[in-house]
Amino acid sequence: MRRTLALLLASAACAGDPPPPPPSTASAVLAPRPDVLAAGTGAMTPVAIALAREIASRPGLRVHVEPSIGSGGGIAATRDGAVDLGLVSRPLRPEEAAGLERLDLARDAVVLATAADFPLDDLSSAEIHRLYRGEMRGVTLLLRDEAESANAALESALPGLADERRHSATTGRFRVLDHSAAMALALATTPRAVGVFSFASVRPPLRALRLDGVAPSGEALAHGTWPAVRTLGVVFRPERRDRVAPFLALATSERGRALIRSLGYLPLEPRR
Amino acid sequence: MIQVALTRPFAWRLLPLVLVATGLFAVVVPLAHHLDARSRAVVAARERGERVAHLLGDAARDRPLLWRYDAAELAGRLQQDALLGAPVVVRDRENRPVPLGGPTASSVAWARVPVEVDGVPVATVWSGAPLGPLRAESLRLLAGCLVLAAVLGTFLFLFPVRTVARAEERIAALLAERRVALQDEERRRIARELHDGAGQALTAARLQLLALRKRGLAPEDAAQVNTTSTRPSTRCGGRPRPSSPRRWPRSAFSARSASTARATRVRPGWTSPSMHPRSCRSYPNRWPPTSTASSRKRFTTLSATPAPSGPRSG
Repeated sequence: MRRTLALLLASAACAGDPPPPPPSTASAVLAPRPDVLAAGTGAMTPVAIALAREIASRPGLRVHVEPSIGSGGGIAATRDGAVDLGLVSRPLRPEEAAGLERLDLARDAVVLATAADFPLDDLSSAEIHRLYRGEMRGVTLLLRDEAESANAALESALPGLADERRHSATTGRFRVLDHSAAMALALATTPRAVGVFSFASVRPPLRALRLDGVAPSGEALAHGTWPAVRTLGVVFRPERRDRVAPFLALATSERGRALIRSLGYLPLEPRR
Repeated sequence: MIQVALTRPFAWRLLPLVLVATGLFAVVVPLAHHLDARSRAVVAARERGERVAHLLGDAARDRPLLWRYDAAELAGRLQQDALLGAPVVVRDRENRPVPLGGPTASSVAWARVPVEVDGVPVATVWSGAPLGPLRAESLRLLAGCLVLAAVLGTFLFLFPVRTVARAEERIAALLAERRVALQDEERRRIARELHDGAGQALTAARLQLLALRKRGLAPEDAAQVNTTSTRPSTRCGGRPRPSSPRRWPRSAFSARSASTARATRVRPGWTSPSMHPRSCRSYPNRWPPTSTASSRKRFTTLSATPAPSGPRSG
């Protein structure tokens, strides 16, 4: 009996554990918290923090902005009710848009940022392609993860760059960073490094490179001369509109637009 | 040549043993390797799952509410530690998936590891070990073992069978030699008995007949006397005596008496093999010289009758 039991246990050990069960399809929504929670893309986080500080100066509602979890994470957390506001920097996919409302607030210029030791101030489109192909010597390219919306913004301006980036990522020659904060730190500490970054987040010692002779600025963004642009916005569940209404009202107000503009973004007219 | 049927029965008995042994070798070795490799793969997957669970536990401790939505951060950390080289499935406490990327496979052995923060379960990690390469490796090993088992089985079968075949040939040759030797010995024994028994009796009768003629008997009387005097030539002293019945069964006695009959035209009879006198046992091939008519009468079991016909041999 014991021997049989031991054999059965040995067989079970060889077979491993049962496979994971099918994922839950129940759409249980978490109960809202006392404070309004906002989380999502790091590109939108400075705007959300500025608006939250402005709201905090008034009595009543408090808005708490979580560190970056990416646009996809912000959308999923909003859908699950874990947060009230999802910060997004890319268009929603059809399966993501169900049950959510979106409000676009600003435009962000996507630039190639570098530290002070980078030998160039301007990169042409051809040089950027060479850079992504790994053919530019003496320069270290830092990549963002596949889901980063800044990639899509830059690659929409430079056709063919997406394939070159994916190929470079598979070779393992370049570091791939998962967050804006990690990219900022890597750009500041890696010699002659260059990477895709939000223009509004460029702070010394980082600087933004010109692209084909065009310098990134609020004016270039407003005039449409800067090619790599992404739209920033928020998503929320319709039943929580009342909870986030003060935040939305501030973001679309003149005060809010001034705050957005002061951060280096281009504020948008509210469109729902 | 005497036929000794040893090789074929031996081969038929050996064949299933060889087939079973080589079959066990060809199946058990790859099977044991597969089970062992699968067990080791599951153990490795469990260790990897424990490392993933440790990372996720740290993330859940830092951000209890939003850790599961920071897929890029989690995937980056797992990728940095080379933990996404094999399938990994993460489900939160409500069994909702946590997308981390990583490869997928159709055939996977899973190891389940819970993720806990301060003793409270927050998620579950399934770390998978792809079985496709393992199965391919086991199949290659099975093919190799089958080939090796076929070669080994051939040797294991042919070597003993050839040895037995050689032994069979040797035994047949020895039996043939022994049969020839026994035939020669039998011929010599029969010739010796004829020479020592019937020849002497005839010589004695002839001498007695000559002596009677010298005494002046008529030829007819002499013939009558000769008939009487030649009776001893038909006594048991002139007959081939069979060997001891204890050593010779009746069938052997019959075969031997037949050869004797062919040689001497005298057929020994056999009715009661248990009545041999003690004195006969010390003379294996003839009646004792001291046997008398009275004693011969006692042993009526042996009788000699002239054989009707047949060529003499020897």
